[in-house]
Amino acid sequence: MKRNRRYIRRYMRYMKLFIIVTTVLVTFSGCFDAREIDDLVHITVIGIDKGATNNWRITVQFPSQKANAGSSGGGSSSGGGGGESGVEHSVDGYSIVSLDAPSLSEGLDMLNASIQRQVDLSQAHVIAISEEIAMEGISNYVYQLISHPDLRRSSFFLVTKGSAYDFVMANKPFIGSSVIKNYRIWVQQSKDIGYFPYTTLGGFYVSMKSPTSQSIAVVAATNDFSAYKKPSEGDMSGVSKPGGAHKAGEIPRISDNEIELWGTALFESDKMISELDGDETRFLLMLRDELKSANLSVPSPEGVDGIISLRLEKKASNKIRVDTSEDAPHIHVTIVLKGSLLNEHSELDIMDKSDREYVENTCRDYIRERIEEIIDRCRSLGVDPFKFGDKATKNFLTVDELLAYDWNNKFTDAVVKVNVELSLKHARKLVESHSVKY
Amino acid sequence: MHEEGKFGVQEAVWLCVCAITAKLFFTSPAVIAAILGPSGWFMPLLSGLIALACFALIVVLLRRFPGRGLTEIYEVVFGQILGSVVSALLGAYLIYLLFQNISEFQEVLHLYVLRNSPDWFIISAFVISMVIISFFGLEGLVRTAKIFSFFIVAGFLTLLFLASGDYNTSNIFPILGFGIQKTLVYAVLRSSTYGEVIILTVFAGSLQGTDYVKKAGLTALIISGAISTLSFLAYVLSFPFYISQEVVSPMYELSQMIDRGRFLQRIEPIFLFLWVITTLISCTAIFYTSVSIYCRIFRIRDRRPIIVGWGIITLFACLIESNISGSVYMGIQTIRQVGSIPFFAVPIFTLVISLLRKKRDGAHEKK
Repeated sequence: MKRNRRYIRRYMRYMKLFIIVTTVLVTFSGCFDAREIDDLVHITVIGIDKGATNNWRITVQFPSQKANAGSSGGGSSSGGGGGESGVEHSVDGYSIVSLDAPSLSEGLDMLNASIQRQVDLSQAHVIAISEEIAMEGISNYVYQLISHPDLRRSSFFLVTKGSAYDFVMANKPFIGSSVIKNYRIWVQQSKDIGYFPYTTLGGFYVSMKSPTSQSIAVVAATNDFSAYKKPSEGDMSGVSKPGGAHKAGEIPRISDNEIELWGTALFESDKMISELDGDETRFLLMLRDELKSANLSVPSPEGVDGIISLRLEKKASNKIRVDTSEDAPHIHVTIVLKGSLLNEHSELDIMDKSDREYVENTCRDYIRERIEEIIDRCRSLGVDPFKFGDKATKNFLTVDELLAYDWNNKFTDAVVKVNVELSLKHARKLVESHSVKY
Repeated sequence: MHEEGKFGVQEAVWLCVCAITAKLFFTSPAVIAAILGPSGWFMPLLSGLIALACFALIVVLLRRFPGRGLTEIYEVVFGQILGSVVSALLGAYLIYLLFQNISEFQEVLHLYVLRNSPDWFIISAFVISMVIISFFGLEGLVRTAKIFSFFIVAGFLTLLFLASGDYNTSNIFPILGFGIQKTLVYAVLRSSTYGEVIILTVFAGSLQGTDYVKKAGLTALIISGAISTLSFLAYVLSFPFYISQEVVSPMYELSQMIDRGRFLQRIEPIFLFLWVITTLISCTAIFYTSVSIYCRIFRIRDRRPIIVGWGIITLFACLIESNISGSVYMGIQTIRQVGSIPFFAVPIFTLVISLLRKKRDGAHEKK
């Protein structure tokens, strides 16, 4: 008993020592790295341009943390080459600072000298790089971004038409008050509409270095709304065009929100070499297995008026078979889709088997042709943004064999066969409709 | 003989699992990816099998000398002086391993999290914690390992599950990486990754018999092998071979990449907790074992003064390593590649000598 008590007393002494020391260590461990939340300014968007007086022009957007923020809403973009004085740099609760610097890290130090808080990049959700940089070669910028300890690989990565400065200036919370929330919801729509891909910094970096594929990035642009014509100015001749047949910044629309995500920038290694419009992006994403659903307008077959309005959904994952036994790779792609008709044609009865097959064949052929077009275009550019090469890796036993095959060069000669499986159903609320007058 | 207290198989198992798997949080996966490419994920499986075979042979050695620890067996087989030298070499290797592990931990922590904290501060806090836990002896340490094991395993599996959104099965191809020959060679060399299981054999004399050591050791190796293989597989699936070699702390990067909608993202601070606890248990186990070997060689019964001295030596030795390249490419690489010698080769050699010289202990196994 006495021995037990002595043991307990000794044990308690150690426990006290342990608790005191642990508490001290835990409390003090924040000494050097302790940062009050109020001391920081959380950057939400980073724009990168070529500087006028140095290598980098860094433009950052951050919440101004003012209770009465938003006094100057309404969009006051400079619209020029960026960095013009006399332009309002605080919009709807967000402030913007832009400066020229030799590198990202030094630029952040310079920012700290001009912002009364410590700059923190850990909440940076959007990284925008100008098309000009993308065309010249992006690797130096991407290396600095990817190796920055605060920045995440999951940050949304985009290429801006025009300067990134202009893009950030036009970027304001159009709905609600949070830019971050808006972006997170916005980019998630990629897989449901398909007009732009969902590209992250990490994903871009991986594809940029890949020996078996090339990278892509979403294109962002500011729209000056000049494509939006008055009814009397337009050239509509009664023929419907695909909704996605526009490039970024040219969508015929008008709104308080100037910016739009639209289309895809194609890269060869670290250089942007071309841009896809919204429609092409949809077929690209279909091939990459990144499109879950989309509403598509298919030109009607002969003898039928108007367009076929189609709701497409992915039925199963793509089946891709790559044969590398010959010098030129042979690729067989099967895309499995299900669709539903969203409009009615008096000439066609979807309930009728032969009519339905006729419509199915028309839609299937249209989708296949568009996919083949985009593949041909990419082959002629010498880039594989479809990740076919990644599927080909299983044909090789060792890395040396894979590298020796030199996929990125061989893809130009690739023979690609596309098979689209599409089953249509009637999915409208109306079982049957007749002509306007019964 | 030093009494190390009483604890069950589970406690011993989790101590070894923590000691072995802590290195997964650091640079080892990246180094393996650089050397082996996509085949890096099954190398831990092969290494684990080799380690299992080696440990089985060490158990045969322990069976010949029931009730004795590894250091005592060395003295019996090689004689007191030579045996002490061999034990000292094992102790020296363990302490060098400890220096490298703490340096690596400090560098990675400094790189990712505590960027403004000076090296001495991180290392001091860590070494002081290690010394305090060591004061409680092996029993305190294994019980701590057991308590935290649930959180560590649950956290680890959660991490792998949440990161699965970034897995790409194409990344495991070409399946043989940079060649099967290279994979096999490194599987043998890297069997030292599981070498911390030797801790059980050092304390075998104080534990509850050879069967206890065997059961705990084999179970620990199987669990560690499964955890290592799973984490290497997750890493290879997340990063293709041309990227994986660039990442300093793959598991931490993996936790940073978790992004499941607006509500489940930026959860790496939780992972950080597991990382630090596992490393603390691992380093303390190695530290305590090296102190114990020293005390056994010089027949010192009171370890506490030695623990303090050893802690001060550790603190200053860890400060020597100045950067991540130094600790990764010089220290860690070296210890992983030669580690099989003190951990497995020397005990197996001792077994061979004891068989040749027909040395065995007639003493009854401790119940």
